[in-house]
Amino acid sequence: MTTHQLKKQLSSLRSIKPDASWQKQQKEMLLNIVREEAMSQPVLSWSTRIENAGTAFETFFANSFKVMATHSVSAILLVLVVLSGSAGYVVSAAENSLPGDSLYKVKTAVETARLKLTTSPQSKVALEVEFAARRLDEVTALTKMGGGNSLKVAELVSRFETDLTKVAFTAKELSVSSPSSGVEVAKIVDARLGNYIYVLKNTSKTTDNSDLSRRVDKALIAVNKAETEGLKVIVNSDTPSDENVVNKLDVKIKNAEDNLKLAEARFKGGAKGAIEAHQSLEEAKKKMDAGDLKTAITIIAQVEDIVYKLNEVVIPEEEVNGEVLGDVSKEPVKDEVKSDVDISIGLENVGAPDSNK
Amino acid sequence: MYRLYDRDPEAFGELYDNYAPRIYRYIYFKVATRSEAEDLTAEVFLKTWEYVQKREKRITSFQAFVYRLARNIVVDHYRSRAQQNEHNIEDDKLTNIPVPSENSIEEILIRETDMATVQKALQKLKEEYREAIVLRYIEGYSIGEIAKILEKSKGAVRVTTHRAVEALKNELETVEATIQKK
Repeated sequence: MTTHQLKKQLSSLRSIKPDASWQKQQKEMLLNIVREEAMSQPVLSWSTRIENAGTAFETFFANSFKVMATHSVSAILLVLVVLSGSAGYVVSAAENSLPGDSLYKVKTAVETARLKLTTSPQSKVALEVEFAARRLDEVTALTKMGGGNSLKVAELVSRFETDLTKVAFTAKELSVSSPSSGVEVAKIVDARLGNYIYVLKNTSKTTDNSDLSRRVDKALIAVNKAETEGLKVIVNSDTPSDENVVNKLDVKIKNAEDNLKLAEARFKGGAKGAIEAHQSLEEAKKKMDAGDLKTAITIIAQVEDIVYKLNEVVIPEEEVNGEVLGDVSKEPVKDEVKSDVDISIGLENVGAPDSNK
Repeated sequence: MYRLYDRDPEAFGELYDNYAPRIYRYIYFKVATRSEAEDLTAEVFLKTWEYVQKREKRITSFQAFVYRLARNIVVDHYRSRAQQNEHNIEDDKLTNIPVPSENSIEEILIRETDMATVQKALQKLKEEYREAIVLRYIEGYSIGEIAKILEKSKGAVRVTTHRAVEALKNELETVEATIQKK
């Protein structure tokens, strides 16, 4: 028997059916049970019935308008139409969607629309912080699903990094134009950072995809930079710094020391200026003990930048003109680099060890 | 589906009309007798109604849901039968479902046809292959739909259905050779 004949025979097995009278009898019995139970239970509230209809509408909507939902502009228009038509349950249905779902474009279009419609800078940053957190929620959800979602997770992590960098920049600008608003925004950002770090580190632990690991590392750097900028804003404001800020600065100094040691260990014969960087961190500790948090945080920020530069030197082919060149894991990583990078230039003017002492 | 969640009995009736024959057929190829297939089909729809009433989790794809439920019910059915029996039932009896009773008139009638030969060979396949063939070539579901039902990737389903067809062809040769000997 050929495969074609076999498939034909198999499809003829579709003629196997339950006995018609049995089926009818069973249906009646089941419907009686259904009717009895339906009558014995409380009437559904209108809100529940609307929720039921909304769920069905989402399924119908997602199937019928799948093509429209794939185009961002159309999705924005669609969102506006749906919102003005007070069919907001579609939007709320989209809130739990993930990259790859048909309603995900609606979700991101709604986020864009909300940002455009928000005028106050504080509210904008608060929204951006919330949306960045959503990207990480999506990362968590996709990571849990497993099975070939590494690419989507990697893209989400990169998007998170971009969004957070924007947030940190906005917070910094705001601290100049409106210091009190800047502090408020810095605190909003600071409140979320712990959760960001937790999700990113968890993602890093659960993957063996080198591209994703690299992106997570970059995102962690963005979180660290955002924290440093936020602390700068808080410390430089007129509001007195609480113990929490002091604790965070202590932790940052410790982390900067550890990261500096790790970074310089990759250089044959050590990195130029590493000793000065270590000494600067000692200086930062002294400034903190003296209550001069402003100088302390400035020194910490400079040392952190040095560490980032050192780590960039180790993988020099990663980025050109902002474009990622492809899978870095396939390119040989240069483990040992001649220590011709002078990192001490980052330590000019502020907190540099006093050579006269 | 929303009418189902709205406790509309007619909606349940429509779903039953649409899916009962398919679920029956799906179970039929997994169990020994028609009566078992009937009982388990009824159980599938009873449990579906219970699940809808509990409202713990929304059913996003009724098709995938009802087939998965049917699978679980058949597995539970064989497990409880194994526990009830005094003698140990070997594991392969859960997977190599015996052919419908040779003494049934129906079996005698269909034995004469090619369809019967195919059915016999189908019953000798391992569960995974039989299921793939039933869903793909008897029920006519797409690879994507089967992937949803079996909670596998499309690639895995494609590979399984291909291997299943090859296995069925080999089994057919064995069955036909056995019939010829008789």
